[in-house]
Amino acid sequence: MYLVFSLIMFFIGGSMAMIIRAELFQPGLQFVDPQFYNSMVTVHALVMIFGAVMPAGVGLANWMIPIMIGAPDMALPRMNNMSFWIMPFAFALLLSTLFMDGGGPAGGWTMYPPLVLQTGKAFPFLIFAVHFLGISSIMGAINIIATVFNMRAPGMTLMRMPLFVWTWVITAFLLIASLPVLAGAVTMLLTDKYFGTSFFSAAGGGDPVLFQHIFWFFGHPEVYILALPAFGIISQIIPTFARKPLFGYASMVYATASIAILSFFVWAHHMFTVGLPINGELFFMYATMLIAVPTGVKVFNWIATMWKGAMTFEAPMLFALAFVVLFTIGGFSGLMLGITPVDFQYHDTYFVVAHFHYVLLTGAIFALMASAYYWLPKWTGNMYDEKLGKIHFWASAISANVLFFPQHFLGLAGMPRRIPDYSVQFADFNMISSLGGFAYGISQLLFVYIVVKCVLGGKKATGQVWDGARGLEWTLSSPPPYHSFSKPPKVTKALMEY
Amino acid sequence: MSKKKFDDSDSELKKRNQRLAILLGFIAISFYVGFILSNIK
Repeated sequence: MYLVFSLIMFFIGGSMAMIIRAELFQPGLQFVDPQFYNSMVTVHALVMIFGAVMPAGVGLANWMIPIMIGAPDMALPRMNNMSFWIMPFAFALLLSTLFMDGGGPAGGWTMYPPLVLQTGKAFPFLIFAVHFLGISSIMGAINIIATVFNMRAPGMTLMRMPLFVWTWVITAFLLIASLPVLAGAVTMLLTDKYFGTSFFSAAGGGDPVLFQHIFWFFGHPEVYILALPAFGIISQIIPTFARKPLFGYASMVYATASIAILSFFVWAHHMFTVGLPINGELFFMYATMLIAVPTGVKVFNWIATMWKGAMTFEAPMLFALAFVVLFTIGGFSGLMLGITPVDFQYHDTYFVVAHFHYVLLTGAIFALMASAYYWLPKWTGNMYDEKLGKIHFWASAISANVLFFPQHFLGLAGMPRRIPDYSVQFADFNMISSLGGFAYGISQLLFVYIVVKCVLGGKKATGQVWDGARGLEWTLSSPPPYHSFSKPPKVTKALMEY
Repeated sequence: MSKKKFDDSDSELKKRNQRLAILLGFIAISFYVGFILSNIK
């Protein structure tokens, strides 16, 4: 249910992206008025982050963690149910604002005051939707932690757990630590607007920059909430198709934990231009550089896993390889943005847009696509159409790069983000970028066709599915029984190794 | 801790899950409330 919901949200958010790219296809105002354009930018971000990527990650966790650790099901099924059903309600609230007088929220997903306080009737809907989504995610996180800590099969020690489970446990702690901060911030926005408080109002003795600090104290860990499960997925797929054990398992676990901890100490790199003290800017610049170390460890380990492996290139592996290359490009442009004086030029330009889309689209979403192809045969009992899967991969990889790579140049040339019109000097790259965007959007319809075709039938999958796969989930039939390990399996070291 | 045996009606396991959920929920709520209170001047 989580996965179907996230796929629907992926297409709703994607259609908003198509509107954005259609408007930016050429200079001037063509299709939408600026207010609606800004609503599209804002709601696209909220839908993609909270509606597509996060629920997809939670959906994978719900399905895969019990069968990866030898548990019959998740620990708290009723809470799980509540966590899911809050989401359609919250998104109904959010999306309904697009049809209200004054339109949807248009101040950006970051909801900076005082701009966001000018939002019309949509404001309370936005705030409550964010609260509900936060509650839903925290409940999901609690369930994951309870499942992993209390329901592991005998012999499934912490250091034998698959990396996907490890990354999700660490992500769950990140969620519990960071989402209450976001909830607190938006509650304060609500009281500033309706109850006369002045948390962020300079006129009343408050400070609008305080909101930015609070938001990014949540916002940067949020980036890793989206990225860490993707790291876990890639760490499952690469060993399978390289037919080698993951290189440096323990270092991968420690690197994941280090990234999670460091993510709480880098928030101000999103706000270098607000006028921070020089020592503060230096601290946040160096702390940001430090995150590259554990991330580099991960990339090194994935490459070392593939080194001299008997590799084959099925669709999951292709998406995983593209993830490694393209996420690293996003990581490097992130490092560039983390250098304070450089950020003064790049801040709020299309360079930032290119950076975070490399991290989130060719990063997180490519990993989710990889996971869908990897586990579809296990879920459905049928093999997907490999040829179509490969076509989907190449169409996605090429179009995503055509879409986002030119945006680096636009940003370097000074094109600001969140604007519906631009100077004619940016026309060519915007046209190329829009063409890439339309191609990417169309190619995702192929993914839906592949999934539906696989669910309806196809060549029967064995329990093992992939000959190089290791772990408990591959010892079960495809599809697995409703309650997987009602009798706990005995987990030995040999089961998890090659 | 890994569990030796699973059973849908295992009340000890259910209690352990609930206790952990309540503890984590309490931590999340205290972060939320504490955070707002700490910003009130």
